[in-house]
Amino acid sequence: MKILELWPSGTGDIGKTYAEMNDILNIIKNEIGVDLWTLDAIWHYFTNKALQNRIANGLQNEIDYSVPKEHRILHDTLNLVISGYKNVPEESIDERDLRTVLYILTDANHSKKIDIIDGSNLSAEIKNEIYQHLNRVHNGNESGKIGLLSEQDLKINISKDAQSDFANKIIKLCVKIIDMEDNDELFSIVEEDVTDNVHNIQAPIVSYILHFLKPSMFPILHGNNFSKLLKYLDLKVKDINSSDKYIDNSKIIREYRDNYCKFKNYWVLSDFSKKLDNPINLFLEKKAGIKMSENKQKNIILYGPPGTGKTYSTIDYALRIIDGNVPNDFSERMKRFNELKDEERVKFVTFHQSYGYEEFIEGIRPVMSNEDDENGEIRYSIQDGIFKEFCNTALSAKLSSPANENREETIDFNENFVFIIDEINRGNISRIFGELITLVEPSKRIGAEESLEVELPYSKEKFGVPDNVFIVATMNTADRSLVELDAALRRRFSFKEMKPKSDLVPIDVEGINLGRLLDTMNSRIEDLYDSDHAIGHSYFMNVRNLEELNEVFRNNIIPLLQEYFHDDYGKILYVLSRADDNNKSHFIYRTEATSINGYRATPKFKFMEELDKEAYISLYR
Amino acid sequence: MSVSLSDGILDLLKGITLEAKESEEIIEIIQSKDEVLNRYSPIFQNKNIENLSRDKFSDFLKFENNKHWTGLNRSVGTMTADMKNLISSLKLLTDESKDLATRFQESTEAVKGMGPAVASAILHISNPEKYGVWTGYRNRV
Repeated sequence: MKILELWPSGTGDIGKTYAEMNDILNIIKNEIGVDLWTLDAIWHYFTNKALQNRIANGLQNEIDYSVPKEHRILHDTLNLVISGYKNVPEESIDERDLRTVLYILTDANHSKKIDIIDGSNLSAEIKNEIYQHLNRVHNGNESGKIGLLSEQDLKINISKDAQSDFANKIIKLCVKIIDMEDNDELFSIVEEDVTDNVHNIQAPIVSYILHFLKPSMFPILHGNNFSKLLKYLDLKVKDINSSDKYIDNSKIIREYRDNYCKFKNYWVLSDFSKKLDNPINLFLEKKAGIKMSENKQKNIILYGPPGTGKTYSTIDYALRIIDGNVPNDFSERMKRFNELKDEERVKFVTFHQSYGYEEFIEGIRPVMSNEDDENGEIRYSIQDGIFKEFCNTALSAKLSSPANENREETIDFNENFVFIIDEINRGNISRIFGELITLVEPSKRIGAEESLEVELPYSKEKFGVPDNVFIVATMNTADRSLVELDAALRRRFSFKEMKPKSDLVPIDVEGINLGRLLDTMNSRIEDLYDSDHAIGHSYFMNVRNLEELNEVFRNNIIPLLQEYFHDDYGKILYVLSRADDNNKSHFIYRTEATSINGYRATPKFKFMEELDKEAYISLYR
Repeated sequence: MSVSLSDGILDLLKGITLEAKESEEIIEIIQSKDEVLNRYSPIFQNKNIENLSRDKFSDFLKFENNKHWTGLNRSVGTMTADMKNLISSLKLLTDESKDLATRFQESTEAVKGMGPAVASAILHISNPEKYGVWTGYRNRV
């Protein structure tokens, strides 16, 4: 009940708390139609197995995304500091240098950090560069902040006398690994050094240093949520606060990541652990479709097989990005979405094979010199494309917004614009975006730290993509897999997988469990082909009776399977076969092979036009 | 009190219910309901509480017998140290003529070691249609 935020507000008095809770339990009992004994068993399942499954599935679906700006700065600054020590003689490194490395990780105030860095043995040139990094943050030119640990986190169990020697060792280790490739050799080197050199500092600190030097090799072991996450994943790590165990624990985590996950950067893992603050989101995200953290992702592609609600979800994304919330009622959502389209804050386009740069950015188009005059001559003018026009509108809104003054790292929903590209993989990306693909990169947006503008080839105007433009695109994996996607596009977009959700389809249509029917067909398709060619839930969501189900199969499912398997009836037969016999199906029958002029014709397969309830049930039972 | 559950929460709970009912562990718990209630419900009726023995009470707290809750018997020794007090407190707990919040509070305060999980499980067994079990964020992973 705490997960669902249904826990009584209470006064700490357990009698009142129980009485209130009991009322809520009885309401839930009546709403979902189970008795209280069963309801308690369901809670048990919910808070254990179901949560564990959601956590594992959620994590396994995470992919590498742009690390937030504040952490990129931390990464850059720490790498700068360590690189600076390459040129500092080992014998001169002392405890002041250790403090410099460690304080970069903390949220200590600006002047304190400057003082500490000033006292280090780094060269004046490197110090200046570091100050520039820190000043950018301090002066508000950079919206991120440096530091993830508090000063109190810096616990070093070592006498002051021994700190110079220790500083020397730890910095030497960092210098040794900073230019190494991410491979097992690096892991072994750190493993050898780490036990001897770093056991005097807490593992979280070690892990932060190593992580920001090598983000895909070393996880950050810090925080209660992270410990909980490891427990839910059933990873048998030992004492995550002990730096002696850091490498062993990292190996366990790495094994899990490499076996089950798509991401490489361990920042994704740490970021994911924050979800355990509100585990309910792990259940609700499935429906809501977007999390707040995704608002920081400027470019996102929703990918998945047909019928998984990708295009439908773009509405939710647009509303969440612009309004910060999504109304529960669908008609309200549509109403608001249409309003935003009318206000030109949302633009929806569909890519196709003949879509080009001219339509998207700008091009030369013929126009009549005088439309009223039949003899008017045709002349050619440069006209803005849909994306350029949209960006210009967004930029005007951004520049006129009062929020533009004194900007902070907050999302100002009022100035966000959403450009939706349906079927992005059906267009020729290089042809449509041209050289502008670079400009959509979050760090190259107008307003970002590496803001970039290019001169457009026709108009010779300067053009950039403002940072209040969000691109939400969809991609059908049955058309083209993620792997085949233009590499330039892949690097610049975050990806969100949209899987078939059998829990969204009716479970009892004249006795047929459509959820199980869908799951069964999809697991067979996955056996034969892959999950990119699964069948989406949307085909079944509005099915209310057997007649409608027959229609869906006749008009959607069978043609889809024929397309997937190129009319290979053996495979289609397997997908639609009876659960008790993979060679038999109620859906397909074989016509008699007839003889034509003495030649025996090839037997034909046909689909049953109408099926009864048992035919469908036999598929999964 | 009036609590309204949002459509989102209701949909979620319905979805979880379907999922849970496919779990072997949950199926076992659900299937054992009648057996457990038939065995223990009479024992925890208010009118019968006076006859409660230490052994019967202790047996109920064991998972092997209640088939549902682990950990209820953690403080069984403390709870049964004073059987007279335990019986009178359980009598109070199951007294339908009194306000639920008050009897729940007073009985759990009176018996050392009897927390809300045990008290609510007993209430549930005594009247399964009316009382649910204290359920927080129980992480047994």
